[in-house]
Amino acid sequence: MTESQFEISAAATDKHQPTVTAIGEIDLANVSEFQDLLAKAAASAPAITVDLSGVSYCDSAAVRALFSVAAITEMTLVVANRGPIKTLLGISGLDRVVKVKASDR
Amino acid sequence: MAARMAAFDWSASLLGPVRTWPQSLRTAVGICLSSRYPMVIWWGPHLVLLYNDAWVPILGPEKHPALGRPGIDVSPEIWHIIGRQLYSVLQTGEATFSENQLLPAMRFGYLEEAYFTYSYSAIRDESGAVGGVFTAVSETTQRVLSERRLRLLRGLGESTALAATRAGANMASVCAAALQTLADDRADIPFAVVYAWEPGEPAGRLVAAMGVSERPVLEGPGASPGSAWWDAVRRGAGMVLKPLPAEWGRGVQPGANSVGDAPPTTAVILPVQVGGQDEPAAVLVAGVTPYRNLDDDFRGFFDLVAAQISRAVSDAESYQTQRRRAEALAELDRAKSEFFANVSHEFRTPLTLIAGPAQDGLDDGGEPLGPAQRQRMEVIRRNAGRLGRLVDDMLDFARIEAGKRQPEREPVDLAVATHELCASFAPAVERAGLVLRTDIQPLPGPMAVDAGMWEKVVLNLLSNAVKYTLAGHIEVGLRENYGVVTFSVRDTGIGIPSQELPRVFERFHRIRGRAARSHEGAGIGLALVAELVRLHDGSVTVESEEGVGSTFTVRLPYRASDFGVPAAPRVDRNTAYVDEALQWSPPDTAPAGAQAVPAHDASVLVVEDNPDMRAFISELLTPYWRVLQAPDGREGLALARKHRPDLVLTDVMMPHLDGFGLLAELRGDPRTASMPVVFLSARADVEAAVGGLAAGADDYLPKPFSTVELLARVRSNLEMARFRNRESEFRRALVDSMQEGFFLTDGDGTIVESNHSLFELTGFDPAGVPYPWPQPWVPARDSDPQGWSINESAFAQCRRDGGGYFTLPFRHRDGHTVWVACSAAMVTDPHSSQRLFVGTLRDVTAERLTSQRDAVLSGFAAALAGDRWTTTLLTHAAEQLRTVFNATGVVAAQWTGNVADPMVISLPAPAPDHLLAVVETARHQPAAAVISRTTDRDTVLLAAPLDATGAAAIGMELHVAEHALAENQHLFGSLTSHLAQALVGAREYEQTRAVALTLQHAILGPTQLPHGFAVRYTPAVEPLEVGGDWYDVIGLDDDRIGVVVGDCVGRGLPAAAVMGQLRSAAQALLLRTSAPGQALTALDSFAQRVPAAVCTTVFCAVIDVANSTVCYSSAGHPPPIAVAADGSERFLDQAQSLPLAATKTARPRREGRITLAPGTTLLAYTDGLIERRRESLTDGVKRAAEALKNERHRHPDQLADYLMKELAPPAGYDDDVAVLLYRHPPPALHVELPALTASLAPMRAQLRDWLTGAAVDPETAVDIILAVGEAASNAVEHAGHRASHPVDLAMTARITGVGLRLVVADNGCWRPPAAEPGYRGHGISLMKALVDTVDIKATDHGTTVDLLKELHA
Repeated sequence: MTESQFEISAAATDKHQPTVTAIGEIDLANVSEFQDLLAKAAASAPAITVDLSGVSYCDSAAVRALFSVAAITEMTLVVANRGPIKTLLGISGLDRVVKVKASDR
Repeated sequence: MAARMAAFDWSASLLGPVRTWPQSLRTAVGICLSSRYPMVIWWGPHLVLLYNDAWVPILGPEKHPALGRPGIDVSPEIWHIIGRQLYSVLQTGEATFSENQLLPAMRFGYLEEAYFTYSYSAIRDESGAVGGVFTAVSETTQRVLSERRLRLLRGLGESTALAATRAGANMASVCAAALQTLADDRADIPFAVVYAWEPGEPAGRLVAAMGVSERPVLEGPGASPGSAWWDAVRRGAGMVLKPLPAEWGRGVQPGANSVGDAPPTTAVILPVQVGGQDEPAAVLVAGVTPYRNLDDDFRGFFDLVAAQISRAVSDAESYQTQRRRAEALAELDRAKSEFFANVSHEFRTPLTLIAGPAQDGLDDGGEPLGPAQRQRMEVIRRNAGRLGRLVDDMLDFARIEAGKRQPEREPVDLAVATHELCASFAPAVERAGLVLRTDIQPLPGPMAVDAGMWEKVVLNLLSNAVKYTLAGHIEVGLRENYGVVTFSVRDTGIGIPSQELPRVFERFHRIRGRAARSHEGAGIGLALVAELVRLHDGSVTVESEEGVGSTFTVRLPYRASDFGVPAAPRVDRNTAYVDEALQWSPPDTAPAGAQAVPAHDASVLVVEDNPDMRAFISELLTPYWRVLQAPDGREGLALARKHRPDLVLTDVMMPHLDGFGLLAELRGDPRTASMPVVFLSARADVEAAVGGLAAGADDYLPKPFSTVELLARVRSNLEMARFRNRESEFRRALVDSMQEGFFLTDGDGTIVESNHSLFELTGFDPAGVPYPWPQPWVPARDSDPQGWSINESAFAQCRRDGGGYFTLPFRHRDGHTVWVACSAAMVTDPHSSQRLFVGTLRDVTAERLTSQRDAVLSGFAAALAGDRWTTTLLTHAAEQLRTVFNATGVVAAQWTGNVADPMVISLPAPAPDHLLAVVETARHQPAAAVISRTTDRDTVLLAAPLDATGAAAIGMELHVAEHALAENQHLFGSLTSHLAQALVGAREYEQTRAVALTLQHAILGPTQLPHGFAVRYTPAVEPLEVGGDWYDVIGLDDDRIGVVVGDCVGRGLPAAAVMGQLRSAAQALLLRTSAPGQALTALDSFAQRVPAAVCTTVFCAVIDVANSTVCYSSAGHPPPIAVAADGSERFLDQAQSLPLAATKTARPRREGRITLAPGTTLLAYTDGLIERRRESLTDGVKRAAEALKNERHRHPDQLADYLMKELAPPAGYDDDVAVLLYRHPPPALHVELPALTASLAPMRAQLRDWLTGAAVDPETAVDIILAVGEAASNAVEHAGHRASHPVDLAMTARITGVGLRLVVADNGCWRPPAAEPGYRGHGISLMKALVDTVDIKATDHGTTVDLLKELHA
């Protein structure tokens, strides 16, 4: 769990939303950092993209964070086609609140 | 018949009730009943009879009905023949085929000579044994009898024709010959007698007899027929004598008919009529075989026999008449010749008086003749000159013979004279298209010769050369050498045959049949030359080669003239020679045969080479008849064939083709054979007259003839021909009235006569006769090679064997194929001795189609016989239909349940929409029908329902001509109705099969297994899915699993039935006791009560997953193998005892126990896995252990596959095989960490590793980790944060009998979820979504989350 686990790329143009990219595992130990970054990104633009395709594990804490930000901004999630994230999105109902894109990876 | 069969009380018969009949019998009966062809089934050891309607006439009305009766009772009279054949088929199963077999039949109250063609073929029942015999029969009696009678009539015709032309032939000899022929085959006519009457006699005189052993019977008092018969036959065509006097019957020689020797009881009395006489000349009494009814056909045959004899007797008489006439003619001619010789010289005066004024008239410049008169005068002069020359020659000859003529020698310059003569003849040579070359050398001086004689020598030789040289040149040579004068005439003519050379100079000798410009002449020219040369002390010789030419050489001694100068040559005297020679090659006149033909009733063809004579005769005839003219036989023949004149008047001696040749050609061609031919010839000698008549000329007229005589002869011959034609018209009418097609061909197969039936059959025009082979109805070689070859080989066989019986395909003019039965026989034309073929044709298209349809139906039934599944059945049926009908598409559909989309089979796939629609339409129709038809390429859509409920239908598209549509539809109906029946059978089979499979699966072990297990099961007997082996896995409680592997004695269904019972019992016992030893002991008692359960081997164990132990007991079963993760192996062989119920009293079973290390693999199996021939069981167990050890790291499922494959014998398993594998999981995971967020990730990592080691699949592992992660998160977040003391987090994971158990516990205080709204509820609902049960227990001392995930192998 290092700082490098999460980062924001700023919007290069109007057409490019700021993107929050996460990798590795997200659990209680680092979820607040993740949430802060999401809030920061949401504050900078009307819509953001969250790329979770590099995340190997996350739990309901992360889902809570995403829900809270999705309530204030338009969010697009990028996730891997298989794996725990996809399962989690389905069970929590998050995929009905945000846009979900399959990752290119 | 189908109704009769249905109504018949079979239960009382030898066959028993219908429902007990084997399927093969039912199928055979189905084919039999639906056929229109006579068919019989003989079933079972008693050969019980079943037959269809078509067979009833063959059985006979008296015997019908004979359903269900043993064959020997129904047909005892022929059982010695067919009984043997039938039993032979029953015993050997080999089919027999009998063609035209004589089977005397008792059908109409008398024993009848009857013939049949039939085959006996075996019907095999379901066990493959021969259950009965299937017979297709056709009655061939009519055919056999017709052929036999035709043969007899042919023989009769030949033998009587021969007898009639023999010298001294009379009625007796002809009748004797006829009866001798009848005696060759007495099957129809056992005896025959001919009696003749002299007018006024009270009784007949015996002329000839056959088939009667005692002549006295025929001649004795009272035996000879009286005047009553005579009166009867005098009035009519004959009478039937019934009953025949007994003494006649007794006198008949035995062996007449193969059926038996019963004496005939009937005879037919018929007149023997001689042409032109009112009263019959004799009567024929012919016996009638008692084995045939005297029906119309038979009666007609007797009439033909009598007619044949009558004709032969007439012929014999007319031959005798002709012979007498020829002798009289010869006598007359002799007298005429003598007279002529006497008076010839008297001709000279009137001839001179004719020729002289004629010449004067022609030469008269003062009163010139008009063109027509001039032409007539020319004819007179020319022929007077010719006649004068002939008379001169003959007189010369007569005088020379009498020694009265001596040369009047005078000095002649022979070279000049010869040159002049050649020059005078040059025009004739030129007109003939020949070249005249002369090589005339001057002689030493004038020579003393008779100039007139020399002239005759030169002109005769030149004339001869021109006559016989059709092309090339004539060389004349004259020279003197050593006192000899040589005169030669060399031509490039036809030459003289070597055998004729010695007679060339004989008087009146003529060589016949040579191609020449003319056949005029008396045959005295060369003889005269020889005589004249002889008078000059010289000689004449000839050298000749046939086809190359002839050289005549005259040699005279040179005799110088003693006196004076030679006289001037006289060239004018003998213009007759040149005139005559000029006549042979008429100038560019139109061909004689091309004249317009006036329309008269009758036509006469005049064939004459002399143009004057031809014109003369034609002018005589023209007022009365149409006249055709031809200058020689060849052109005459062409005209005769083209115009069919009513009479031919022909000269005998003619170039190219003489009168005899013409006659032979005319008689040899059936179209012209009956044309009357009258010979005209100047040769009034006996030989020629007899020769002409013998060759078949109708009359003979010697030249010269009077105008009146010529007209009278022509008229009388025309009338006789007309009379004869009436006969042939009668015959024509008879032939036309025949229902069957009739034809007469010449030896080359050209149809020269036929009747209307033949043309109705073929659709061609009767006016097209003659039809040369191949006739237009014979299929073309290119378009129908098969049809062509059938016809061609029949034609070849006819020519080779002189006839035969064939079934031939004809192509009707409208294009459809007609099948005909053709019976053809060779006959010899009595006039020309030419081979002819006579035959009849019968349309058998329908019969053939019926039998073909039956063949197709049986083929179709046979092709579908093996199909038990509806899908394969319909697929095969579609393939068959496509082949049979050459269909462009076939679609079959089945509707199951309420599904709108049917299961569709289509050839070719995919099914086109229009065919699908057709099938949908046909589905609810009552029967096969034509759904649509378009004229475009004759496209037809046919479809049929395949059951009564509309659940299946089949349809197809084909191209078929309008006329063949009904036939195709009929066949389609038959095939689809058979298919419908088969479909019912297949559906029943499928239902039965489904029931059987369900039941089988019910007794087989479970397919859902706890985690860590893998099983494989292979039964030895296909298509069963169960056998005598079994396995069972029984969850006893959370941690314990019961395992059973057993092997009943035997295999197949009986073993499976026992196995099912034992499996259920073992399961129940194990559930109750959870102790393998006790369970087996109780199973012993159970097995005692189940027959065939004795000696079953069983391995029974209880695996305690939590404690890692296995408790087991074995009843004689091969020991299971346990291989630990490190590769060490152990056998579970510590509790071996006897197989089930091996002893009468059940003794307690021992139990063994082993402990399982984590990752240990346990293999239980039945002996089928390890058993190999010639190998001990121990070796097999070792081999299995080795394989297991080597691949122990594989997942259990893959390992099971590997073992089955690796341990299989090369030829595959030949016994039931059951294999059960169990992988023991690793020990429980227990993790204890402080309840901090940093603990979460390491805990998840440990769990992840453990799950992998426990062979939990990755997908499940993801869910487990999420669920556990949530539980742990909750503990850290809620319990950890609030507690006042340090909180620990504990996580336990272990595999149990039912699955994966996970417990996450903390010792803090965990807030219940209900009081925690919002996002926080996610954790618990997440867990519930991921695992099967979530149990949360929260107390003041802490919270425990218990998760269970069920695992299945």
